[in-house]
Amino acid sequence: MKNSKKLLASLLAFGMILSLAACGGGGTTTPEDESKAPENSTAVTETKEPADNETTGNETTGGETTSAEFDGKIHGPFLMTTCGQSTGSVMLHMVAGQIGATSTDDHELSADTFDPGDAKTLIVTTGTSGKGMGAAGTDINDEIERCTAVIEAAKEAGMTIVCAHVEGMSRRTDANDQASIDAILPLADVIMVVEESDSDGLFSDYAAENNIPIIISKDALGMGDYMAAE
Amino acid sequence: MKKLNINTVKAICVIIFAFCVGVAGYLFWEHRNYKEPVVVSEYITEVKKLSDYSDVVKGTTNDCNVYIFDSGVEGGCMLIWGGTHAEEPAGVMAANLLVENLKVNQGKVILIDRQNNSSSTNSRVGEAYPRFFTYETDWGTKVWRFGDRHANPLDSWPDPEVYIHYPSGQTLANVDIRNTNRNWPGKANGLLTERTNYAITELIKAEGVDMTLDLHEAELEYTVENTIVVHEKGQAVAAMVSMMLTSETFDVPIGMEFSPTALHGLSHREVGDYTDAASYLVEVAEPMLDRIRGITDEELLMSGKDVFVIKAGEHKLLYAPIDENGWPIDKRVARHIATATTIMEVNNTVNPDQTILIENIPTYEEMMENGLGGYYHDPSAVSADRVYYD
Repeated sequence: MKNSKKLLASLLAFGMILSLAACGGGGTTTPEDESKAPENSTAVTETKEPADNETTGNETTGGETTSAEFDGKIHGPFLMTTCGQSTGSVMLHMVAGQIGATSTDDHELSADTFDPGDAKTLIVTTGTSGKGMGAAGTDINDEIERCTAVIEAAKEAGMTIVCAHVEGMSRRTDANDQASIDAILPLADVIMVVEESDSDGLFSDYAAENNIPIIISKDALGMGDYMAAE
Repeated sequence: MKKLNINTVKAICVIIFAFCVGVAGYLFWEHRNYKEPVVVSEYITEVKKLSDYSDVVKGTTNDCNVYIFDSGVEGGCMLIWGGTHAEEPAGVMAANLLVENLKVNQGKVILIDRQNNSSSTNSRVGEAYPRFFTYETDWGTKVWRFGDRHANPLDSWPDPEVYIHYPSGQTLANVDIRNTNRNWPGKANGLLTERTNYAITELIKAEGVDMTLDLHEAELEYTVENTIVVHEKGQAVAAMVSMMLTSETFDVPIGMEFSPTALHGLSHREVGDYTDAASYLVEVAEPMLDRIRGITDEELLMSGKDVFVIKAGEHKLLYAPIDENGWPIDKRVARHIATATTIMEVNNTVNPDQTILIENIPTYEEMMENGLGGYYHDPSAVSADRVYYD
C-alpha cells in the first residue's frame, strides 16, 4: 500500500513537472533548434551567388537581392504581412508611415488575389501569436502555406523579399514561432531583426552562413533608419 | 492527580472554539469593511458613483467611485480603471496614483480605482493570500485590500452551472460569472458583475469615451505577458506605444497582441465592439500569481521576488524575464502609468480631434528613482472634502 502511494506521488510529481514545462512552453532555442533554420537553405544559396560581384539583376533572377546590390536599406513602397498573425507587421507598417513611405499591411494577403501594385518590397514578419491566429481562425501550417505562396508570387513579380522578426524573444518562445522563422528565412533576400530577436545569433549566423544581407536594429522603432520611401 | 470533569473539558473546548470563531470573524469582518482612503487631486472636477450612470448597481458593493477630470477644453476622453482582478494590485495603485495627482489641461480623463470592488473583499481559499497590502509613504502607511480574481460569493451567489455569456452565447467556466473581465459588455438584469459592466458601458456611452484602458497583471508562466492587448480600433496607437516604450523607456519590452474576435466577455473585445471607444488592456508581470511560487505573503506581492520563479526563469520556462531583482511594485505601477500616458500622447497625434493634455503625473524614470510614496497623500492632512473611500 505504501509503495503504491509512493508510486502515485511520483507519478503526480512527474505529471506536474511535465505540465509546468508544457505551460512554460520553453523559451529556449537549443543549438539543435537553431540548426533547423538553415535546413532549407539550398534555395537561398542558389539565389545568392553574384559571380564576381556582378549584379545578377532583377530581370534574370526574379528579383533576388544580393549582398553586392544591397545598399543598407530596403525600399518602398512596401507590402507587408505576418506569418503567424503576430503584431510585427503592424509595427513596421507604422514605422514605414513615419518615414513617409507607402505601405500596405494585409494579414490575409493571398497568392490567389496577389496584386502588388507598385510595391517593391514584401516584408513578412515571423513569430506567432496564439491570440492572433485564434482570432483569424487559422493555424501555423495554414499561415506558412499562405505566406510561402505569397512569397513565390512576389518573387515572380520581381519584388525583394524581407524576412523580419521585430518583436524580440517574446515571439521566439515556442514551436510555432520557430516554425514561422524556419519557413520564411530560407526564402528571404534580406533579413531584418531587432537586437533582442537575434540575442542568440540565430539570424546573424544564418545570414553569415548564407551570405544574405541582414539589418539589425536596436529596436523596432529604429527600423526606420533602414527603410527608404523609394 | 485529579481527573478533569467531562463538563470542564467541554467548557474548555467551547471557549477555544468560540475564541477561534471570534478571531476569524473579526479578521473576516475587517477585510470586508476596510475602506481605502483616496485623497483626490486638487484639480479633480467631479466624483460620481457608478450608479449615477445606471441604477442597476445602486446599493451594491460594486457601486464604485468614478473620478472625473474634465478640463472644459474640447478634446478626447479616456477611461482608465484598475481593480478588475483584486489580486493584481499594480492596476489599483496606478489608478489611485493618477486620481491623487492628475491635472487635465485639454479633454477629459475618467478613473475608477476598484472596477470590481466585491472581489477585493474576497480571498482565494487555500492560497494563503494576505488580506491587505501596504506602501510606506512619508506620512505613514497606505493600506489597500488584497483580494481575488472573482467577486465575493457573499455578493453574487449561486453561480450558474454553466455560464453563458451575454450577448454572444459563448459558454465559459461557471466561476467566470464573477470575473468582470469575462462578462463585458454587461447585462442590465444579470448577476452583480454583469450589472457592473453594464453600468460602465453606460458610463462610456454617456461620457463619450474615446479610449478605455483596463490595468492588469499576469503570472510569468502565462503567454500574454508585459503586453498591450488591443481592439482593432486601437492597433495603430498600440503599435507605436509598444515601440516607443520599448525603445525609450522600459528595460523589459512591452509587446502588443490583437484582441481575438471570437473570445467574448473581455474588455479589449467587447468595449470596442459595443461602444465607440477603442479598448486597450495592459499586462505586467506579477510573480506572486505564478503557481510555482514559494512563500505567499505581502513581501512577495510587493517585491516580486521568489526563488522558485527565478529558478524557473533560469531554466527559460517563463514568458517574461526575471532575475534577483524580481518585479517590484514600483516598476509594475510605473509601467502601467507610463503606458497610460503614452497611449494618450500617441493618440493625440493619430487622432488629433481626441487630444488629451495632462500634467502633474510622474514619469517612469521619476517613479523608479523616487519610489511611489511621495505621490500618495496623507488623508489626515487635507480637508475632508478631498477624501473619498473606495
